Amino acid sequence: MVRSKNDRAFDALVYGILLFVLLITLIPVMFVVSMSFTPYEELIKRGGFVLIPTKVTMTAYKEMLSDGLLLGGLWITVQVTVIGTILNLIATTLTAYPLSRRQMPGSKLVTKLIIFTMLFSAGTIPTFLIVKATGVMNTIWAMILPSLITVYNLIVMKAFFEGLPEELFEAARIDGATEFGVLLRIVMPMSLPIMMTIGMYYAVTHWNAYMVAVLYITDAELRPMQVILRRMLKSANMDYNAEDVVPAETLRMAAVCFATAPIVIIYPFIQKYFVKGTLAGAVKG
Amino acid sequence: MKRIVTLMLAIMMVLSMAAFAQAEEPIRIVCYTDTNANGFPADLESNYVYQQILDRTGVAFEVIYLDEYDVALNARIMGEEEWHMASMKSATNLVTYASQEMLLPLTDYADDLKVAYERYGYDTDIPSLYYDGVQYGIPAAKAISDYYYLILVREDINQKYNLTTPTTVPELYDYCKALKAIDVNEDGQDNTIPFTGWTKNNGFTAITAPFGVFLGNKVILDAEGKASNTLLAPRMKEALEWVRKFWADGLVDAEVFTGDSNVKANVVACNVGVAAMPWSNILKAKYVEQYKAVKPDAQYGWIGALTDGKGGDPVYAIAEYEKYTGAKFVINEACTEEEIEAIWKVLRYFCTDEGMMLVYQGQENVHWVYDENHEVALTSRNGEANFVHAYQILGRDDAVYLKGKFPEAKEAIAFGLATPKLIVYNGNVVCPEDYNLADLDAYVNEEMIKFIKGERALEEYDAFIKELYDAYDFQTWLDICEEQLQAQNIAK
Repeated sequence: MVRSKNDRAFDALVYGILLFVLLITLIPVMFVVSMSFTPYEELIKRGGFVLIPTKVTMTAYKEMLSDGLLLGGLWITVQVTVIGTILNLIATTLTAYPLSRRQMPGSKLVTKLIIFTMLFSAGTIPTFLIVKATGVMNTIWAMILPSLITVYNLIVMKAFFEGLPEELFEAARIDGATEFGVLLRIVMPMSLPIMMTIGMYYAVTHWNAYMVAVLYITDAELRPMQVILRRMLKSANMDYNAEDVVPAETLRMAAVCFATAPIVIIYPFIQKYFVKGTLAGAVKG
Repeated sequence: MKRIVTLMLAIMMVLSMAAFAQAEEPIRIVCYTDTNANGFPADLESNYVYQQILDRTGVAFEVIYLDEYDVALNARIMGEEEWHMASMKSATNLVTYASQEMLLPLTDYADDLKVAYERYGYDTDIPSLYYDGVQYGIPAAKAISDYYYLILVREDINQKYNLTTPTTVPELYDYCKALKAIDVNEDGQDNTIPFTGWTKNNGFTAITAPFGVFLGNKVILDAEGKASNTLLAPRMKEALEWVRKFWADGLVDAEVFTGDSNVKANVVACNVGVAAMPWSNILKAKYVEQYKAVKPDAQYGWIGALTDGKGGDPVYAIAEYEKYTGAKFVINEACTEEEIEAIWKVLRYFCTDEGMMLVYQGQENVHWVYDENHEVALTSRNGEANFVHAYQILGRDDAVYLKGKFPEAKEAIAFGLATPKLIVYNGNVVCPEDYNLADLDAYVNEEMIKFIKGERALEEYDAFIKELYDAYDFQTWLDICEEQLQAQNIAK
């Protein structure tokens, strides 16, 4: 096919725009990564902007990992993320599935009551009292149980289940499947995209957990990574903190790399599910 | 004989068991702090400060840092979580909890407080420790960081270009003009920044303080000793005119308005001629090493506070009134007698030489030693003592503490402490909840930037003040300040 001048111009325009988008996305990431590896003096010499470092140092990473607290925090975060996400998915699925079935009596009322909690939350102190009363203060459960089900995720999952063909459920029941069997053998295998998507939402929330840890954890050995990173940065940022001897800039960038790397690494592998999952329930009929 | 020995052994066993049964668990005291300390040990076993306090006093004194302090502390107090002591970040916090009768009045502990005051050099009548005439707060930090500010200059440039360091604001202007024409970092580019400062307010105060002016809402005393405000300072326009002149002639770092690390980056990059900033941001050995790596012959020194050039006194930066403490600790009203006694036991220990040095520099002969002149000298293990300042529950005497901690900057520290400051009293005024001080401050800040940058004519300054009265109820704020400072016998 002969391409016209206009077609080529249009393609050039599209490529130009894509290249621009690529650059404005990539440059900040490169800047953050490069800065975390660049010696502070080198950074200053080069006017504070380095995309490709000529000198490399691991000082900021060494400083971050020097006292072992961060690795301990990372381990707590991994535990909370893995255990939390699994429990989140189980609890959300077990709640969303029955609510998505039309034959369940009172499902509309229960759904409305659940949505009410999204609009009007209990507030910090009542939630604190509940967490305390359950006896999970200063345990990793304090970072998992209060947000076991996120209403938004529940609604998305419920919408996905509602979109599954009713005939499948009927066929399974005719074959003698129980409701739990239908969920396990029919619904779950078809729900991989939504599970991955909702799982990613939950995992990122756990990975970034900060305020729950601030409120419910005082045991230094149970602090998650984000709290420890925040402390390091806060200490390095104080304008006249007499004790501070760590350059804040490289430390800040190293912290960003350290905190986001696992999520960035995992994301490409589940991206295909993520696209499908985010569209779940978006088109009906 | 065997029977006797057996009997004696049996008695000894019973007695030792009885003694063991009587051995009491140490009293646990939970003390929440907002002091963030890097390197704080993760467990109590390896926390030698905790262990030493336990050993010397028999009290398990746990200091716990809370992130997002106000929210986290409030949740714990209201959520009836166990606590015995807590840091109050502001006078407002103390008032909030004291008014709900949640804090222990310290009226009965005057003798203990006196020991602490004498050891740490506090006044005995710091108003911000009181609520309704009753003392609830134990002073924990003097507003000493105000005295960290210095006017730093490039001594290498002065020497090389034979520049005379300024002593007045007009001389500073001429000095900066001369610097503008010099390539101070010798990189062949026109990137010299003659003047920079750590935040707009504190940076420009090097220029405005000699006129008795601060470019923001600060409570001061006027010439007659009556409560007033820096915004109403008689020489405000004169001071603003100077700042505008510096800005208009391109002598000021644009980063001065951001107040973030970019200011320090410029100083480390040696682009800067004059930097009005805390010594701790550039004169620590670590930072000296950084700027020397950029330009080995660069040398930052400091000059004295400037005068107005018309016979006025030299003044630089603002400092809170001495009878003020930024932080203070309070005791839970619900503490038992035993717990209260345990708290004072620990505080009394902090008043001993050993206790004080423990929370200043760590353990003697491990983290520090006395040298031949009986001066504190740090050992190679002093890095392990970076967290001990979290235990400075009774504060510290910075003149002693910093000199030992940062020997490389001891002259700068002493100079900063001796530099005359413009005394402000905001720390002694508790803003009532029904007055929106944050809105007033935000508007003042916005308009001050416009005045500095020439985006608003100086002739409009009176109109600006009228706006404050009309739209922000400025008179109410002035009345609040006057009433409270008079009640504290600070203002006439």
